Amino acid sequence: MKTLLLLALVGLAISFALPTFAQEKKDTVDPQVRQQIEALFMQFQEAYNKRDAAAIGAQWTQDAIEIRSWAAADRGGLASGRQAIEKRFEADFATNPGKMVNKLVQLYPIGNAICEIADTDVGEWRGQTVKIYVRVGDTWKIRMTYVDDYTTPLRPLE
Amino acid sequence: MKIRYLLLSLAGLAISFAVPAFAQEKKDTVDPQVRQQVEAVLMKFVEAYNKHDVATISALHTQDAVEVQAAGGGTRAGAFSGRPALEKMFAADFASNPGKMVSELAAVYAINENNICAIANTSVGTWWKCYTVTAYVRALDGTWKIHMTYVNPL
Repeated sequence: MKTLLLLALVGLAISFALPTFAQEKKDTVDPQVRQQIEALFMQFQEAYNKRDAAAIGAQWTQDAIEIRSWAAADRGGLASGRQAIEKRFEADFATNPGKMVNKLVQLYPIGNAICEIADTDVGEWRGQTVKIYVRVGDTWKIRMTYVDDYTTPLRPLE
Repeated sequence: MKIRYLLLSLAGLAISFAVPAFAQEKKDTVDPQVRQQVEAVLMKFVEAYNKHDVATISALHTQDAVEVQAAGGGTRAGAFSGRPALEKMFAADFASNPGKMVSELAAVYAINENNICAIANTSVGTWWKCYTVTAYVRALDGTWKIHMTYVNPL
């Protein structure tokens, strides 16, 4: 009887474990790529905390896009191109923001690019980012970043 | 006795794989109702695309929505910002008589309670395939609108 119970337990546990493996195989980022992205992730935070807009700019593709979900008047909206993004960070630094602390939540492969979801705190400000990294030569660059925060008002009805 | 130990070990091993899976799910899980709502918006988008209905597609976006398209698979890279630019882009797309769109959600993450990131596998016709990463934001009436889409052709 006990053996039957154990067998049932094994079957049940395996039935939970197998789909996990299948899912991981499909959605998992190559460990080496993960390391590379994590290194960039840390470099971004370091550059931000050193107020180094040029080092931040160097992480992006020339045609990169940054979208902040809040109003353009508050340095939100769309910034297009590496130069515009660098300028935006310079403007951020001029306001003397607090220390940036980022936490990687998820990496997801989307074909030849990687989608990263992260939490980002700057001083008291709490935000979230969705980044797209693309391969440029033998390294990864940010092609697009979408930034949102909890305080962004709900969209008006149209 | 040996079989019992073997089974116990197997159970332990399998559970050790299964438990982290639950932990992961708990961390990334989107409220099932929200997931359904986002999926419904995606389905409306696909239906409108297949009817070449630019107005309906436009209405699914926020006024300040942005679509970023990566190069590849015959797609020209570019960024389209605001509803009028998106409408023009989709109208041009429909003029080229694209095939039928099929899209399936691959992953959904809660960015925060008013912002959902959805990754989908999409195909148009028999050969054009892409991944899309879409940010859906909540409007004042609780509905979800597309605020950002990144299209990565395969």
